[in-house]
Amino acid sequence: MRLALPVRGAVLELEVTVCRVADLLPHEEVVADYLERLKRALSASAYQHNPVVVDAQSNVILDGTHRWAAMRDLGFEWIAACKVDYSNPLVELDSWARAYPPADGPARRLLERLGASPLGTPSVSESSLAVVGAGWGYEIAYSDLADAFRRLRELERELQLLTGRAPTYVPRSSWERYARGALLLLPPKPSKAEVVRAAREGRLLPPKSTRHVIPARPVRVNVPLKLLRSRHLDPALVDELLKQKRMFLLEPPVVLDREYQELLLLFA
Amino acid sequence: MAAELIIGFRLSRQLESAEALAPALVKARGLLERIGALVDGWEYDRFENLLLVRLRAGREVAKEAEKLIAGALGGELGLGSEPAPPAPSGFAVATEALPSPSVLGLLLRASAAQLEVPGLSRAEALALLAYYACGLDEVKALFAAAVLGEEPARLREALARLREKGVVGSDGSLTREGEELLERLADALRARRPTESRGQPAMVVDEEGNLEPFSPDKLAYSLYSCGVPYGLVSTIARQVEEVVGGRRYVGKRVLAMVTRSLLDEAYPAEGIAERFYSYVYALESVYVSVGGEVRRVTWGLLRRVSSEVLGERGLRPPRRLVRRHAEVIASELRSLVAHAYRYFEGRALKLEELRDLGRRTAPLVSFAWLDLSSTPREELAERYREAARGYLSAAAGSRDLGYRKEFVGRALLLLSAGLMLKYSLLPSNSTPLNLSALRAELGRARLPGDARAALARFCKLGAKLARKPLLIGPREARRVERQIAELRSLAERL
Repeated sequence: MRLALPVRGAVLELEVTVCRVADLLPHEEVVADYLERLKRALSASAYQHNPVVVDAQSNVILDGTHRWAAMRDLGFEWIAACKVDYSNPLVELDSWARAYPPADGPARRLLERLGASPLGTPSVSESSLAVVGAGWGYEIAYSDLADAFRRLRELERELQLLTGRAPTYVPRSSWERYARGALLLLPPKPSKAEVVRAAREGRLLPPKSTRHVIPARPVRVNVPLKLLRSRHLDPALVDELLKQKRMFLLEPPVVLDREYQELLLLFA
Repeated sequence: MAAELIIGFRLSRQLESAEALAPALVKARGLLERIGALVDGWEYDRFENLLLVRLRAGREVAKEAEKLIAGALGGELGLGSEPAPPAPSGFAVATEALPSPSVLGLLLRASAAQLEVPGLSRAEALALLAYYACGLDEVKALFAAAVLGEEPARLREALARLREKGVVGSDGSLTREGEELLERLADALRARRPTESRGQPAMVVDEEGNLEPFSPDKLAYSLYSCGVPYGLVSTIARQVEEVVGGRRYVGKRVLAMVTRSLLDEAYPAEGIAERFYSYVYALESVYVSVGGEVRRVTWGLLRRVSSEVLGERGLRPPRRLVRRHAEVIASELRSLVAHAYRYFEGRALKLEELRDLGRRTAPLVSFAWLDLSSTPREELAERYREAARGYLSAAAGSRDLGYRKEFVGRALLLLSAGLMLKYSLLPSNSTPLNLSALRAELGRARLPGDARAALARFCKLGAKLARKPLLIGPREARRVERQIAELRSLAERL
């Protein structure tokens, strides 16, 4: 089902459909605990509620890697998906900063021991791998994206040990809002081309490496799972199924199963 | 665009399904109506244990509505709940993106008719009609395009061309030229006459993804049942068939929308279009109070009621008979709801009322059920056997192919019914159904060897004879004579 949604004075076109599970490419790794929880929930459910978001061109999953992995592991042949044009500037790419409780002294000592270079907070760029606190910051050098994420993983481990807490995640693009009251680990923000390349080459980025901001998304499409198991499902049938539903537009911010900062198209 | 409020609740315990919430929400519906709030629907997310309720209500009553629903959840289900506000204001405003079912139906017809008027291409004609019918709301027209199976981008381009041509003015309203074109389009759509249907029937997809071939007869039956005048039924059914003719799949709701829009135009009196829609979705809007609990009418519940009612004569009703009876009850219920739909909104029937409906309709599937109310089983079985023997004898003596077939048909029904009574099964009004139940009994009952062989032979022969067409050649006619003779001998032995 092809849809056109009004977004900030422009129109975003997207397609709600089904894709073969085997045709989609993840670009991030999954968190094992969360994956298991989702698999249990799916096993007890009759529907796939929300479609995964996929680049129409490359079949790379932009949002919903865990749902996809759960359905793959449970043997589903098909998955409900919302296809978008990734090259459309309305589809934005950000990443997630890791926020820990403040631990300025120990953190700075750790970073110096790891050979990081001090930086002025205003000089944090989108490609920086950095740790910042209130009024201070360190940049960690890396050779390429794979190296950056390898170092990111090490830093995550070290900072969790140091602060005794698992991180919470905040949008990297607005990290300055959080830096005063937290110790932030900022991963470099990959480009869209790097995301597609990582997926195609199977070199998956760590979980929460990217944050895709889709300006409008369909939710609660409720495609029956019994259909998604079928080997010979005709996507035209799902199209007809979706046409029977009512659709509502919800302006952000909306909190349903999670907080959405984008326009929602609620199927009912 | 029409707006609704969504309010959310986090429930204190996980429920099996959204159905479990029906008692509380039916109760809440009555209370909410008193403050001018209408429950339009609800969604339960089992994973998040989150209940979202959609209300047609003013914003000022949202807080009170939330309290009433929470109270009903606690009172009816003993279920604690915490408000889970979907937005900082406590409720989210949901704007309906699609036009009404009648407008969608009209547009579906226009799209299938491929209308053109001088000065407009087909795409422009559809865009103009969609834009106008959606209340000059471009966003809604773009959403409608998705249901029509049209590319939203093409509709947008067509609308842009209509602006360039001066059909749509700079303020978004229709120009005089636009209004004239629209009049011509409406006339062209009304003037459409149904043509022959094309090829394979479309497959109808219900909300769960189940499929069945589109049947104009079934649609005609639904139209009759909800009171559409006879003269209109076949015209509407043919027009619907024409609209869906070229498609591989058609949604049940799409079908209902097209029909509704045709009825709206052809017979605007007495709300017949709305009545038809209620007929189709009757089972979704009727609730039944079972032991103090309010439940939605499901096929499971209908089969349970059917099984209880048919079982009242102390005989086992075969599963297929129960299914058939449940369908008849559903059809009666649909008819009832369609004729009094405004009274049925949010109302719960008593279980006994549903059973009464079952009793009233039981003879439609099993006349024996009625006979058994005044005649003991053994006596009735003997009566059926006697009558069957008489018909077999008449069939053997008949040269007229039509009478012979009719007598054999009657004899088979009565013989199979008599045998079913013998084995404590409730007979149906259908010979194939009775024969299939007897075949199943062969696998279950402990019968002496010769009785088993005779019953098996009867089932096989009965099925063969029941399938015989009226016109048969002489050789086949001689075979039938032999089979009738064998049936008469079996009737003595069974």
